[in-house]
Amino acid sequence: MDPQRYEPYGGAGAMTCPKCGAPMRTYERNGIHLEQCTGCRGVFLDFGELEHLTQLESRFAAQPPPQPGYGPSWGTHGGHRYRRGGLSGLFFSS
Amino acid sequence: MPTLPTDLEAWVRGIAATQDPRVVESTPVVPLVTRGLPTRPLAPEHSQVFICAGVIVKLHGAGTHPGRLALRLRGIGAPDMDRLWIQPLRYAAIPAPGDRLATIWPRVTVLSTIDRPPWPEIGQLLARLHRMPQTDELPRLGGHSRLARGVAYLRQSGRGDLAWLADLGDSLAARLETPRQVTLAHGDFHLGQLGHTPLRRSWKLLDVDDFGVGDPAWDLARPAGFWAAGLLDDDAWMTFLDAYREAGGPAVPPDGDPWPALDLPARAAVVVATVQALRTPHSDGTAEELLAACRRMHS
Repeated sequence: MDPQRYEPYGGAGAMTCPKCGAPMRTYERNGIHLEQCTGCRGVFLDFGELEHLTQLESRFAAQPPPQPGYGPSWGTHGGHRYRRGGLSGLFFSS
Repeated sequence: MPTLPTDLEAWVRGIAATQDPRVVESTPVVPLVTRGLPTRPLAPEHSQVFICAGVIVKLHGAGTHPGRLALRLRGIGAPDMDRLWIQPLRYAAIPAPGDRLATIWPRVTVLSTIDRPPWPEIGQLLARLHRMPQTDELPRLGGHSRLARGVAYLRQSGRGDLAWLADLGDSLAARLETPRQVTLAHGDFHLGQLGHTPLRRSWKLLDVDDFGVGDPAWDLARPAGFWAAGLLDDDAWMTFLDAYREAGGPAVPPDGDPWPALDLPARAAVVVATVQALRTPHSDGTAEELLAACRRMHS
């Protein structure tokens, strides 16, 4: 998916890449603003943004792994109660 | 109640009378009503079950292969298999009106939709079937044909909005051509395929039409797929799966994630059940849940 793109500075006020000198564009991903060079694709992070990324990463890693047997990618992954009559489709030949 | 052609009714009663001395001219012949649809027409492509006194007469669908049906009937009567299957009153099919084949069975108690399904027993029963020694004369399981019939129905239905579902069915069929392993299996297992005789309380299998050799995961596919679709709760699914594994069922590894073995057949079972639910809509939202699961497979 393409990152959502916006250009709050635009035009003459835009940053230039300290490495290759090409203009940089501002993107937002997962709530973090970052500048990316349109030439060498290098990324510039503002103060605090690296910490923010690290937090996101540790939060992701802390998610419990799925239980064995917890089902296929297309499934609802459990936690369901019988619905009234929900078993009816389990009774007939198709 | 569908009206039964008089000659067919008389024929069924005559067959029943050869097995049950209580049958007289006034004994009713009752078509077994499925899917709560009392007006379901007697379509030759479908099988139809009739009850007369203590006898069940099953008219098999028009496409039934006589040789394969004979092998299947013989198969369930083999030593030890008779403890897993309700046994027919005759081990041979007989010709029936309309160029059909009929088989004759004892009337049994079947699991009702309001009963709590005996999941541990079901798991054990299927595991025992899957562990039976193979005989090379049995036909292939019928699951593949069921999927093909579902896809064919979708293509003929003119539902352009469901073309993706037919494509999904086709791609699953291609991937299911190579079974992971081969054992004896029921081929169309669901909760309506359990019955017991008055003397023995243990549940046995009904319906030989799809019985044969193939991937045993087909028999776990319906509960697995319904659980994945959110229609069967965790307790029921895990009780069934644990009992199956404990009894040495070979369709899934003894421990660890069972889904690599179950995924494809479960997908197929959900697609087939979806087509069926779309044909005969339940009012309980089953069709919507199943269709949503198919959409997730497709995306």
